[in-house]
Amino acid sequence: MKVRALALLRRPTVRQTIPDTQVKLERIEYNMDGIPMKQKDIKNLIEFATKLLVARCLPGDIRSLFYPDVNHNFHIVVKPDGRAAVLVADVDYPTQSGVSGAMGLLKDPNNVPNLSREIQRLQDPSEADKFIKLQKEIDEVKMIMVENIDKILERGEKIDDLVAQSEELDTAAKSFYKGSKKMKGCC
Amino acid sequence: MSSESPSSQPKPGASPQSIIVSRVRQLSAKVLGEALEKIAGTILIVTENSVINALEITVGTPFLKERSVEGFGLIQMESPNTQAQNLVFLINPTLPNIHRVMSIAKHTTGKKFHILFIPNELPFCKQILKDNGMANTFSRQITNWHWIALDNDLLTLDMPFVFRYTAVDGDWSPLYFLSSGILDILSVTKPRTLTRILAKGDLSSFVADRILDGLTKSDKRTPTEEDNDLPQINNLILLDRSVDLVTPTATQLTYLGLIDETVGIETGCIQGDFGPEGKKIRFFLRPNDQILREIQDKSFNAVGRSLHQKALEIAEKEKSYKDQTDMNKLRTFVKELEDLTQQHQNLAIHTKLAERTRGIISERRFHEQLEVEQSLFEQTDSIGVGGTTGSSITNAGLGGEKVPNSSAAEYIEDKMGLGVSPWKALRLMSLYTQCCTIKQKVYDNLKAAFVQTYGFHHVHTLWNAELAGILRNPGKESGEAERDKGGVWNYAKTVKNLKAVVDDDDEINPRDFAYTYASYAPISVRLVQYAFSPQRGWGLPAVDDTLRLHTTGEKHTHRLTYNTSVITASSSINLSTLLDPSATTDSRHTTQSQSHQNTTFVSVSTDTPDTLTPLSTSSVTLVVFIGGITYAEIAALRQLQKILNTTIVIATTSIITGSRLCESMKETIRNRLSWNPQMGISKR
Repeated sequence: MKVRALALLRRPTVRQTIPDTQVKLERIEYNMDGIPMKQKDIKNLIEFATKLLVARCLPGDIRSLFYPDVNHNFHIVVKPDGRAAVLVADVDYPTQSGVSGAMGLLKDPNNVPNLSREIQRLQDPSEADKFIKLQKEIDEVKMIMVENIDKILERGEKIDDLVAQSEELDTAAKSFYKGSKKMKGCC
Repeated sequence: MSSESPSSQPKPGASPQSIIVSRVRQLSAKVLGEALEKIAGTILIVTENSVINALEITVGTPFLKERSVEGFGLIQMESPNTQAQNLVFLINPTLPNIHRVMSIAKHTTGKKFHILFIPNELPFCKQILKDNGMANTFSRQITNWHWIALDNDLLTLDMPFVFRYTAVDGDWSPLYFLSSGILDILSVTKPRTLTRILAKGDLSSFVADRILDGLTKSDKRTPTEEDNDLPQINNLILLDRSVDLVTPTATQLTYLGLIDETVGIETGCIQGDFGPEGKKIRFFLRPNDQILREIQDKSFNAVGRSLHQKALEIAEKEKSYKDQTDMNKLRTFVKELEDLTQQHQNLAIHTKLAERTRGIISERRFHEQLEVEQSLFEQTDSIGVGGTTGSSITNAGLGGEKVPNSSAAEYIEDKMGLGVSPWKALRLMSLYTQCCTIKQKVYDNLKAAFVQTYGFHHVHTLWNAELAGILRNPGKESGEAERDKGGVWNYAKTVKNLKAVVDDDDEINPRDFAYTYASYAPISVRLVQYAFSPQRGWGLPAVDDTLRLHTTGEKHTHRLTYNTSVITASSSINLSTLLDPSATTDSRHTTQSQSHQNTTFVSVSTDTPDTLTPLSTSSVTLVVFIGGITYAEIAALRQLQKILNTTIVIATTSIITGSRLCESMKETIRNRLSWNPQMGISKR
């Protein structure tokens, strides 16, 4: 689960698809951990794909696109003012985190974030997404709770044993009515 | 396990019984709190085990801690070891209790002593303390604490000595407690709604008179607007235990009944190794125990099925959370978890109790005994008991010569030979002598065998049992018949008139309440049933013949004519001035609906009226058993309530079993000449 690249771009605010030459790549930061060779080729490919995809998105779009040639997801946010951010991550990276990560880069129009720091932070998808973080905490609580419920329920007699015991009680029932009158009748 | 606050308010929409009972419980908590708050400093309550249970049920531990109670001591101890400044003896005013209290006070120093009487003091207490020079050792207080609420419709005074005191010793003082207790119950209901009192037996008539006295003194106020929300009690039925001694001597076959017979229930508490991993626990029977609610009144044979169903339900619920991803559902589950684990624990305990009991009753001798009992109910004395008791020893030399054609007698003698407890043997003898017309010789032989088996001191036991009517001496019975034809016990006639033997009911889905004793519907509960019946009501000669009081106790025979005291509401004969001095002539001729406002009590006692209007089933009836009630009878009353679709509140002096009733006949004998091996060892 990795974020491969973060990019900040700018495109014209026209509401139509444009040639990718009109998209200006402002800054880009890569994370090439775990890729031993051809790093440069991949970088080029990502750069090209980023521009191409942003060119095809309209201002105000939020998209998560899979680009098969690179085998990565491109999480794209284009603001109505033409600023765009792209978070490139592998397919394991949660879409929700990718989109909110990209959106986080565009939070403040006057302050350009430090991409090299951001890319480190965003490697953990929960960091990217407060919701995911919360969800993770809830899951943890849930797990602990379920464990504790298990412990509580295992205290004392097991319910399965009680089911078996009570069934035995039922089958062992022997009528209290001796029916002596009827017996006398047949003798 | 004690999560429920005992004095909690009833939920809205609760049954009228539970509202009445919870109001009575609140009253009990109030008077107890007041009594304890009068004592300054820390407190150790010294009392009997049953009272400790009663306190747990009535107020609970936090309530007592708030009132600086540090702990409990048992009254049987010589001297309690405690830091508390006060020893508070919370006791019924009985002679043994007073003696124990004095003994503890003699052996303890540096404490203040208080006696709190439940519910009230008797004059002899003060006198005995004075005679022993201890009149100033104690501060004495009355609590007016009468009732212990065992269930939402069940109140008990928990005074097991009442039957013995009244039937053998001729001491009727506990009846004053009962009367004031009943007035207490009436005081938490809407005033002047009690319109009819039916009483059967000497003690009941006595109590009925006390209640009438009390009502004329206290119930003068007319109901106000606020009183309209209060629950009502419209009818009061009082029954002497001695009216029906057959029922307690038979074996109870409902869940709680059998538990009481085998394991024993003391004031709503079962003690034993029924906890997890066989731990010893005190398990309280609480009204909010849903599993208990389900099974308590069922025939024991239906209990397994109910428990199994409950177990399956709980198992399904417990597993439901495992693959639960929906947070909301999980939240609901956690909310229910406390209740679920409580049910799980209760299920485990009830299953263990049921298994233990099943172990006892699946033995051959238990079914043998049932067979004997059932043939006695049907008065077929010579049914083949011998045939089923293949193992029984010969009775030669045990009870003298062999008596022909009475195998029940043989069976009882065999039982004695096999070493059953004297009380079980006495119980069987009681059932035998009550159900069958037996020969004097047979009776005498049984008595002789009893004394030979269990010891000479049981001469007193047998004498007391005859006095109380537990044993019916055939000789005396006939002699009395000549003197007073109305008062003779006639089992055959009673059973026939009351249809008490029903041998085709269903144990699982009963139509009648005969399932509580398998083929025998308790006479006592039939009597209650016929109070509601237009065809077979009280007062009709055909039925009333058998309703005559059956006590054969020699002490009270002169009162035998005083058997059906009927107190009815009537606007034609008016004693309303007793109750309401401002009542005018006009108000006496009121319509039926208004007569609630101007209830008048007319005692038609002593003379049995020709007819008696049946009680209305839409009213609320308080049924009081004087001298004790069995759990099976309680189950039968609840079943009757279902059949009639009416509302019944049950009150009694104590919960009994036949064995406990028989045991109360024993006499403590102090004989200086008798050799006591323990004394010999302990003395140097």
